[in-house]
Amino acid sequence: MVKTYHRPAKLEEALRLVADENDKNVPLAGGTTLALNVRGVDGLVDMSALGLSYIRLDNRSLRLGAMTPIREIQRSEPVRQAAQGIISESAKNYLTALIRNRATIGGILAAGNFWADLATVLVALDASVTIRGAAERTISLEEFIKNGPRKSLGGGILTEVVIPPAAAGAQCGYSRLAKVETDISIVSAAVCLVLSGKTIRSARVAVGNGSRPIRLPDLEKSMAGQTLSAAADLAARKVPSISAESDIRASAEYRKEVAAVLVKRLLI
Amino acid sequence: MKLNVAINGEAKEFDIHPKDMLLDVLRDDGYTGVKRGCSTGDCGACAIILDGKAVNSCILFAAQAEGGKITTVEGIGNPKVPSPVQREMTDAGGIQCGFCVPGIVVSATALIDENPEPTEDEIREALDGNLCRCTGYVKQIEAITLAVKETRKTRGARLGVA
Repeated sequence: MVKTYHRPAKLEEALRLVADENDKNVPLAGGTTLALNVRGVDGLVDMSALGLSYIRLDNRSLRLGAMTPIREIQRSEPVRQAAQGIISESAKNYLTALIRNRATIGGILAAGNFWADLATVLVALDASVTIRGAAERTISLEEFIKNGPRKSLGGGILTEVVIPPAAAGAQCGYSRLAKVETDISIVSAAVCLVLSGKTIRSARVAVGNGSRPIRLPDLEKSMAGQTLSAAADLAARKVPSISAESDIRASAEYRKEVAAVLVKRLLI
Repeated sequence: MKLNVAINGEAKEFDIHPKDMLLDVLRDDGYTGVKRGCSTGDCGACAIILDGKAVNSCILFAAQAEGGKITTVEGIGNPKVPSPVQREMTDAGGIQCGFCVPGIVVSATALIDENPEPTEDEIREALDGNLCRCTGYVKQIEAITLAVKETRKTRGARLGVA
């Protein structure tokens, strides 16, 4: 049960509190996920006084402080300008405005809300996360998701999400299927392409299977040198082999099939 | 622990527990316009404005509001002196059973405070966290559009004075 509440003014203090083995202290960002389930939590370490809410354009990379609310990301002009607006658009599709005003980019990733379309888009854009523990390290979001938040964080704190600039001339698109706008997506897909004339020079493809983003490196490789319509045929064949689970929103089979349709439609 | 906040312009101090949600603190203190609906952040009946942003108070630790400025529906207007949003909600027939209305008034007020000329898309986006289970959202969006026109008049008057 939650017994204590801390609002450290320095990251070092927050790290010390989170690392304390006697107390089960957890970092608290917006709280919109943590408030739903605080079982096993002794202390809350509120991260709001650490200066981690910011959106910076740094050498064409976007740097999003972990405590930046999703709605600010959605509305930010530099974010809208990046990657044909797909970061902003997928942020807008994170649940509701009342939640987007509180939920933060670092919070939703550290909480493991990888079903978010924003996670799919960020994986397609090769985003990375910065984690502060004893030292500072940066890992790709893809790896963070693969290993899970607990193992990836290793008792440290997620401080920043970095989105590198898309390759010169890259075109990005994002699509989703959801029962209603504010629901969690049944599936989502994000594609970034660099074209050379009528053929694809390079591609990045990520599909959200309802639980988490899956990158499709084999498909990406096979798309190189292909026309868009040939790439769409490849997607129709290869995307259904992604893993997916059945739940209240859709069956695994349905997800696989629709994921392929979404990717195909992004290409043609 | 202590919680110091300003509610509808009035400074208040509460004794709270770290696990308390802001919704409970507000309702226990008589702000019953803040409704308990789902308690999971889905319905928006518990919406309040915290430091200019409309948020769900049911999934907000009270301690997170420390030092903040809170506006509840009680601070937006009352039956004798309704705000433009409240007046238009009743005039346009945006009121059904009434349970979701405080949350809708809060979301719409936060929107207009921040963006006095919202488009219909912006109104829909700002209200996407407020569920109405009686009918739907057509009348409410009409009401908010009318309230925008209403506030335009008073803004115009203020500009005229300046």
